[in-house]
Amino acid sequence: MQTPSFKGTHLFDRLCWAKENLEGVQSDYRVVYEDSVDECAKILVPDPNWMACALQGGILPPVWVYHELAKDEAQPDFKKHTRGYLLHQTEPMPAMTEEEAIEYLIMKDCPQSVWTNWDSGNKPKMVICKKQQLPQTREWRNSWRISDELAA
Amino acid sequence: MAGKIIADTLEHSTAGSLSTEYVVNGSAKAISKQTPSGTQISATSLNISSVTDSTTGINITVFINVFNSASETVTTGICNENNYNRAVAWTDASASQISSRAFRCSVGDLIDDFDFSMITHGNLA
Repeated sequence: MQTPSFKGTHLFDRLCWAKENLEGVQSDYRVVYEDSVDECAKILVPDPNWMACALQGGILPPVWVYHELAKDEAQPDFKKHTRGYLLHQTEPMPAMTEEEAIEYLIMKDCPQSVWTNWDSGNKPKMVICKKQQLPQTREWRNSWRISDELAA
Repeated sequence: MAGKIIADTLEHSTAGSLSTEYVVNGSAKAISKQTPSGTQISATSLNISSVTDSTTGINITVFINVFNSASETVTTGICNENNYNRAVAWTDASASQISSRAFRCSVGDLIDDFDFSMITHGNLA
């Protein structure tokens, strides 16, 4: 199915179109990361409808748009977003592979402190793995860590 | 888009009229039905890019179309019940994500043995 020309269309309207017209894609990829030495590992799961949008192309804004909005929100005098138009008026991303989509999602949804320095330090702070590689039960969930045996 | 109706007001023959602002502002802007491990249970999700399983009972749900501000997200959650009453509390961490805390009402401890849903209203950026 061809994606309509969405540049200038409100992002929410694009998502509604995608939900009507695209089949969700549940990725087997998981992103495991640690953003605090005092906390257990976190596991990011891509949303199936989001993944369908990423694979289709022409729907999602470039990831730098989210970074710009995050910068705005980090300002001490921030009240509300005034540059939401970046989401709607920036040329949408072309179709991505599943692997490219995961990279995009890491830069969008993981803390920047994790993905910019993921391989510095004694062990990786972030690992992309398959769902089957995670523990199969949630026993001792609060103790889950990235293995020390992984090479950075 | 296939079709478009531009109208500021809907008028009923006897019941009066309604500004379409109510429809635009009153519709859900994000929907999720998720497991404790962050998987969407069904294809019903809307405006969600990912769910992060942070620890027992705490998930972070990230939006695709961010909201105007953290305070402009209005979220309600519903959970199923087993032997205990369960509840989900939501923290509007920022305009782009929301954090859930699932716990047992009777004991107050965080727990991850049930699925729950999320519906967010509010004003998008």
